[in-house]
This record gives sequence, C-alpha cells and structure tokens, in this order.
Amino acid sequence: MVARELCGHDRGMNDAPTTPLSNPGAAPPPPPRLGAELHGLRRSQSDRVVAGVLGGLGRRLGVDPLLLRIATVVLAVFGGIGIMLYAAGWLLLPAEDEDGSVAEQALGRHDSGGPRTASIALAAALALVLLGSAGAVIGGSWDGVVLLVLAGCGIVLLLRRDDPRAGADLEDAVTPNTSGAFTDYPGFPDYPGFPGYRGSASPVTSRADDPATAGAATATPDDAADAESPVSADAPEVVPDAAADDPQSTTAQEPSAARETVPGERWWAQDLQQDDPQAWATRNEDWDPFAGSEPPPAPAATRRQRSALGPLTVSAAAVTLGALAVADALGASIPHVIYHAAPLAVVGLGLLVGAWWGRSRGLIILGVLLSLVLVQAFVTDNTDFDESYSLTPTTQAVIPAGTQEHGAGSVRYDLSQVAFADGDTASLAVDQGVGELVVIVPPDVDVTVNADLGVGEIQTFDDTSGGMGQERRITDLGTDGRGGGDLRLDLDLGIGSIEVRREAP
Amino acid sequence: MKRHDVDVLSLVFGLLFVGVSLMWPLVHYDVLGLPGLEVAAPVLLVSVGLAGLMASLGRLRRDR
Repeated sequence: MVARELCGHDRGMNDAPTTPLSNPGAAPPPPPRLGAELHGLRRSQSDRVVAGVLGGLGRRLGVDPLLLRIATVVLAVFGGIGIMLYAAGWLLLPAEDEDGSVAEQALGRHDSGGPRTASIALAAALALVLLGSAGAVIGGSWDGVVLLVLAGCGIVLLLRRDDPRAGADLEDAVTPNTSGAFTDYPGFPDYPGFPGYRGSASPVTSRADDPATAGAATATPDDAADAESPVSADAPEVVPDAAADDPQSTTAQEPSAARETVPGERWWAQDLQQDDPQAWATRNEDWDPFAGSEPPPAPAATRRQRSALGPLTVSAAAVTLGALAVADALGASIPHVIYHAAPLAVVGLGLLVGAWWGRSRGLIILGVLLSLVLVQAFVTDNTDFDESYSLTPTTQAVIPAGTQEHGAGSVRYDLSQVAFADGDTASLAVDQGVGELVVIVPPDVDVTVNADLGVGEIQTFDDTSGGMGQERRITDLGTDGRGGGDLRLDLDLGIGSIEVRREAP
Repeated sequence: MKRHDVDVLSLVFGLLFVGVSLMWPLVHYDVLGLPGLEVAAPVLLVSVGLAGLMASLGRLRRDR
C-alpha cells in the first residue's frame, strides 16, 4: 500500500513540470533546482487525522503515516516537540487543494511560491523548531520557545514574500503547477470553486490511488530528468512518453480518441475522470466538509472568505490584549493568567464562528499555542519550583488527616520521630503534581505503601524502579518483623520521584 | 460570509479553547481550585466531545 502511494507520487512528480500542456504558449515555469524531493510536499486531504501533515509527509517519503504519527505523539509527550513540529507543518505546508499554506494566506500572499522556496522555508522552520525545542529541554521555558518559533516562522514567511520568483509566478497566466504532486488527488476536479482556480488550465491530472494508473508511475530516471531539466517547448511531449512507457496504463489504451475530442485538455485525465463517477462523488463527500452544501463560489471569494475570519479574530484578540493592558495601566489589577486566557477565548470564539460562517481552521494552531502558553503561565504563577515543604510530626495525632495536596516542589514528610506501639494504626495520604516526594518512617513500624506515579522514579526501601505509569503496593515490616504498629501511606505523584525510606537506626 | 454546513473541527476546537480559557481564571480566583479542576477538565472534554458527536451526526443525517 505504501509502495502504491509512492508510485502515485512519482506520477505526480512526473506531471509537475509538464502543466503547460493546456496552454503551450504560456511561459514555462522555472525548473525546480533544489529540493526536488520536497517540492510538492502537501498536507494530505484524504489521509489525515488532524490536518494531514503526516499523511502527506508519509506519502511523499514512502513511509507509513502511522509510524510518523506514533513518533509525533511520542515526541509530543516527551517535551512537546512533536506538537511544535506538527504545528509548523500545518502552518507552512499547503493543503493538496490549495496553492498557499495557512500562514501564507494569513499574510496575504496568495500566489504560491516555488517549490524550492517552499522546501527551504519548511527546512528553516523545522530547524528553528528543533533549536527551540532543544532550548526548551535545556531551559525549561515554554514562553520563550513559543515566541522564538513564531518569530522564526514569521521571518521565513516574510522572506518568502520578497522572493523574486513570486513576481514570475504572478505573471504566468497558468499557474506553474507547484502543487503538481498532489493535483492528482481523486476528489480534486469536483471541489467547489476549484475549476477556474488555476486559470484556463484544466485542474484535473490523474488519480494517484487508482490501481490501474498507479502502474503508470514509471521509472525514476524520468522523474529525475523532468525535475532537473528546464521545462521548455518540448514539455508537451513528456506526458505521452511517460504513458507510452507503461503498457499497464489505462491512458495508453485509448489515448488518441480522447485527445481529439478534447483538444487542449488532458486526454488521459478526461477518461480517468469518467471511469468511476460514483467513487469520485463519494470520495469527494468524504473529505470536503462543504461539498454538499456550498455552491461553487468564485475562487477569489473563497480566498477572501477564508482570510477574513482569521485576521478578524487575530485582530480582535490583539484589541482584547490591548484593552487589558490599558485597564492594567489605569489601575485595574489584571493577573498574568488573564492576559493569556483572554486571547485564547477570542480565538475560541473565532473558531466557533468559523464552524458556521467562513473558514478559520488555521486558528486551531494559534489556539493550541496559546493553550500551551496559558498552562505554562498558570503553573509558574501558582507554583514555585524552589519551594520546599517539610513536615516533621512528633506524635501520631499530628500526622495530617485527609489527602495532602501539593502542586510542585520538594515535599518531605519525616515521620521518624513518631512513636508507634503495637496495635497503633496511622495513615498519610499525599497527592502531589510535580517534584520530589520523600517520606521517612520509623525503623520498626509495619508500613504499607500504596504509590502511584505518572512518570519518574520510585524507591521504596531497597526497591527502585523508573518509567511511566508506575504503581506499587508493598508492605514492609521493618527490622523487627511484624509488630510495632501499622502505617499506611497513600502516595500519588504526577511527575518526579517518590522515596519511602526508614530512618537509619 | 456565507453560512455553510457545520464544520465540526472548528466547532470542537472552538468549544475546547473557550472552555479552557474560562477554566483557568476560575482556578486562579479559587472558584474551582485544583480538585475542582480535576472534575471540570473531564466535564469540559466530555461536553466538547458530545457537541462534536452531535454535530457530526447531524451532518450525517442531513447528508443522507
């Protein structure tokens, strides 16, 4: 299956530089010079869980997206790097059916940059994210990392706007098919508003996942030649060649008739489109949320609609922040948390509006980032990691009853001075978020430990282990065997280390 | 902006973000407290999930 998808891709790549078929008079697009592997990297609309970043990447790399998803989740759990990488991919990779990434649309650059600039921007952004994440692991600060990544993405996008290729792209009547690798998506031709999106050119190319045409994905030498050689007047010959190379291709079976009936159109795409109308309609319904309900809008209107709600929401969030700052300056006391919560609320409202009017899915990224910052701000506001709590009761009566709640820090209960006689029972329950939890018990008492640990290390007497999701239920009788009173410890810690030990006799 | 069929992804994340942004100030002002948060967070997720489910089912029914 992976191989088949990959084949579909190669076909797509093969097509990429040959678009001017339908308009041979148009200036040929500049050839991709660097990053031929990355050009055409797109967010998959068919194989997606959230935004299709990993589906598209897996397809391009020929790796099962499931593996990438697992890796991303693991990276997200340990340090959150996965979330940042995914968010960057979402921001910077255009979807299959769009000619610009979310970030480009937000910045108002609707013409698509060349594949080379796309891959460079992506590489630079990923490098920034990695650096930032490394900084996060070392420095432990989320605020700085988020800001660093956002700044990096912004710089990359602004640099792309100044790219000289942008002007060249604009002058072309026919888009140079920078999204060539994915224009072969099944649902593509019926996408509302799409015809005309690329000027007079037929947007249809081929179907990547059709088993029959997948065979048409031919040798890599073809691809390499296409990718590296400038596309010029001989371009129209390339596609018929590629099809003729492969006897399995459905396109090779009745090429000439279709070519004659639809002059200027892609003959092979035409008959492919006709082969299974039912499947086309079904797929289209599956991936396009508005396929059934929205009449095909003008392409320009689609873009305006999409970009209106996002910037509107971001502006509203900025106004909210500014108003808060003004109120703060005028004497109202506004806690740190509100500064983060207010823009998040505005973004959430923008998304709710976008559920029925306009489109604003790009705001999800912003919301996720703001949520991370909010959680971080809350934690730093409400806990002090250097704070340590220590309690040394001397009698059983002083051992606190009920569950003791601690946020983060170093917590120590020293019960070693509490006298236990035979038959005495006592218990201590501690619930802590993050940090170090130490309980010291008298030498003779029979101790029952009931410990739960999310991530970290747990040591009860002589037994040490580490990892995730630790549970430990043990009873230790101490030096004197059974007798000397009973003590029950219920310890619950999210992240950190739990240590239960006896006072050295 | 033209009204379109409900976009479940936007709806779910919108509700989630609004819920989270309401929750933290409540915790900050000790209306909820940390134990309250342990209840409020699952309640929020369940309600958001139910809203998403209902929206999805509604769409399915309309599509049919």
